[in-house]
Amino acid sequence: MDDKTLSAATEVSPPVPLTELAAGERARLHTADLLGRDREMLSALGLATSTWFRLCKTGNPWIVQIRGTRVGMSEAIAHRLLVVRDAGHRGSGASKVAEGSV
Amino acid sequence: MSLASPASPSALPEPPPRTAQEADAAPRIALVGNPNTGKTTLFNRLCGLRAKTANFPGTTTDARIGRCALGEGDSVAEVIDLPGTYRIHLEAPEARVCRDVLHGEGLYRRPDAVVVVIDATNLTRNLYLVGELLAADLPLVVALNMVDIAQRRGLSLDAAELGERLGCSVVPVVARRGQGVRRLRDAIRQALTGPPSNRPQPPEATDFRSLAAWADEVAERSVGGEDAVGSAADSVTERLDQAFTHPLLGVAVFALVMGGLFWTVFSLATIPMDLIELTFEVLGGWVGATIPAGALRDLLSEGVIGGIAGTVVFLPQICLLFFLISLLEDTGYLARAAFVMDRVLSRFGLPGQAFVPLLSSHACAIPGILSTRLIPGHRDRLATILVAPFMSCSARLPVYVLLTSLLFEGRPLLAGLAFAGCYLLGAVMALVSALIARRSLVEGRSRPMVLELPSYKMPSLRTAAYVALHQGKNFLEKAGTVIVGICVVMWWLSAYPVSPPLEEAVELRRQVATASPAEAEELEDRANFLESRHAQANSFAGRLGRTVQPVFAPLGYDWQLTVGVLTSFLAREVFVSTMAVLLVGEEVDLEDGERAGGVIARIRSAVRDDGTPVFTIATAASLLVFFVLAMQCLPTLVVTRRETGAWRWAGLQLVYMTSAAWVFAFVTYNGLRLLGFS
Repeated sequence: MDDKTLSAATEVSPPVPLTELAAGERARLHTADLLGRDREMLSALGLATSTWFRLCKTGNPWIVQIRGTRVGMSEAIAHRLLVVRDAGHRGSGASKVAEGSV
Repeated sequence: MSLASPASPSALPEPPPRTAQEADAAPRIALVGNPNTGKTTLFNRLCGLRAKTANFPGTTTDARIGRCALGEGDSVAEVIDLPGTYRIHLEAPEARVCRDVLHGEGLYRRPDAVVVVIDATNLTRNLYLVGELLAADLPLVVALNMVDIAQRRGLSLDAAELGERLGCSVVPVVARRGQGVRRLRDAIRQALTGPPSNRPQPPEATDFRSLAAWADEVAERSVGGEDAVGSAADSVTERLDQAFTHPLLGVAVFALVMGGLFWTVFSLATIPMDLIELTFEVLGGWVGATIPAGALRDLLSEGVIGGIAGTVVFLPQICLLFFLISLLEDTGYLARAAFVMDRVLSRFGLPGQAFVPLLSSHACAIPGILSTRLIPGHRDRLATILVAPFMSCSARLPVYVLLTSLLFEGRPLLAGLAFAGCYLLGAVMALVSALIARRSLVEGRSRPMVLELPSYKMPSLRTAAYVALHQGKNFLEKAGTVIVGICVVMWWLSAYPVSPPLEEAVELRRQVATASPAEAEELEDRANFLESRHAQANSFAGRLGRTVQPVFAPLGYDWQLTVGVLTSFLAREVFVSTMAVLLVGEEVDLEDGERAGGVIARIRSAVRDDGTPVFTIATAASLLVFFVLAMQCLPTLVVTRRETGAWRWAGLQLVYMTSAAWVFAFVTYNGLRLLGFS
């Protein structure tokens, strides 16, 4: 999947809370209704609107993988993240597709 | 999560003394990197154990400065190990320290070069920090760490291409094995002495989008392999994460791991602790036999040596605990365990990372409080420090043994339940107090957790040994000196003024000469008992006990119990020996069952000045509750002051815990009396 395909998929997918995603799905951050420092932390770990991630585990903690970084977050954080699904990808936990920026 | 961090405010540490050849100021190198990149391991490789620790001015963040030889000759640089940070433009305290040091602001001396440690298995995210550092206009060297793991994952890294794109030297290293460290030293020397490199225009650090795009581009051109950006699912990691963070299985694994850790600390630490106690006992005996009787001998053998012994004896627990925590942290498990405990602790305003300090405090509150360095948020850390001493530590055990034995003579089941109840009461009070603290003094909820889950890997014994030695040394340097001083003062209060010979004891000793051997021994024991009791009663501590007794009278304590409570302020276990001296006239070894049983029976039958029993059910229960909750440990207060950076928090801890202990003991004593147990 190239970047153009990813962008096209984004345009047709409305933002949903991260907690609505299934394990293995890919998505991109849309908005984060968080305190500045928590938002900063997520961005420093690579979770930004420009970056695709894969949801590795649902339930507290929610675990996402952004490139080589695995990030765990409590349910309170996951609820406040609106993400855009990669509609063209319903990945499994064993996805080998490489994420990248758009 | 990182063990390096808080301390009390003081000046930036001075490096180890310079030799004559190093008369000119050595260049200073700042070591920067994301957390979990092996930065501290590399620092240890570069500088060894000779590093000094203090803290960054105006902060409670540890600063380590060491000296590093730069290749051949006597060229040496000072290396300052900066706190791990994902970016330097964050608002976190660690990032602020990095910014200030790199800009040479305030009391900081601007470094002459920067070494940034990056994780080869996670290049893109680490490049965010490199991008920011490129703008700092300082000679830069990149240590590309963990290249061995990257290779095992099928990544091919082109260090030369990366160096070309960054406009600086990029040295592949494996810090835990020391590979590439010599080349890194050469690269640092060249960066310091060579001409300025032709550096590409760095991205605008405050614009994350352009920074991320730049990092992507650089990584794309420098890394090859099937999974160049490292985003593929690793089925082993996925399965381990599922298990370790599972609501039930995760808790079971956590209980197993922590149970094993504390069992190891408890069981292994006793061997060196016994050896330390024995060594100081022999030393005290030698001083006693060598120096003529008098104040100097008493000061040295009982005050100074006793004080040093009372400090050094904590070392095995501290070192062992930090050694094991470092191993656990290195495996990557600790970040997962934090989420397991976060579910419980967040309800009481504590973060998931607080589980290590709280559990460690069951061994001893001192390493427990030191291990709050794992907690990233200042307020979260403060709340944990304030409540950690409520957890029943090993020093309370002798007191619990004595008092439960007095309460439930011949009923081991009830004694066992009371014992368990003490632990439960302490834990509940810790959690409830945390909740109160988070709604008042340390207002706020624990921050919802966002943590990087580092890759699982084999822990480094060498790094763990460094951490353990560093923490032990730190404890002795910072807290130990104060603790020894306080111990000497407390000994002086208990030993002075010297009482004149007690007539009754003198008379008994006179009778020894004409008595049979068995009678003589009994008379001698009786004379010693009377003298010890008389000396304690007339010492400053004893007089204080009599003066303060009205405060403890509502809890059912006479002056003897009050002296016991006051002297045990030095350390809880002192209560048992004070009771033995005051009520029986000899030391109690609670491990010597038969003898202890006899002594406990005599303590049980001890009477007050008015002839009534010292210990009733109500008084013993009241004392038990008091010792579960009271802050009867001066060394812990010293460590609290050091870790929070202010005496006011130590004072608050003392007042709060002692007040809670008084109130609960009062309720227990009077409640039992109302129920007819007086």
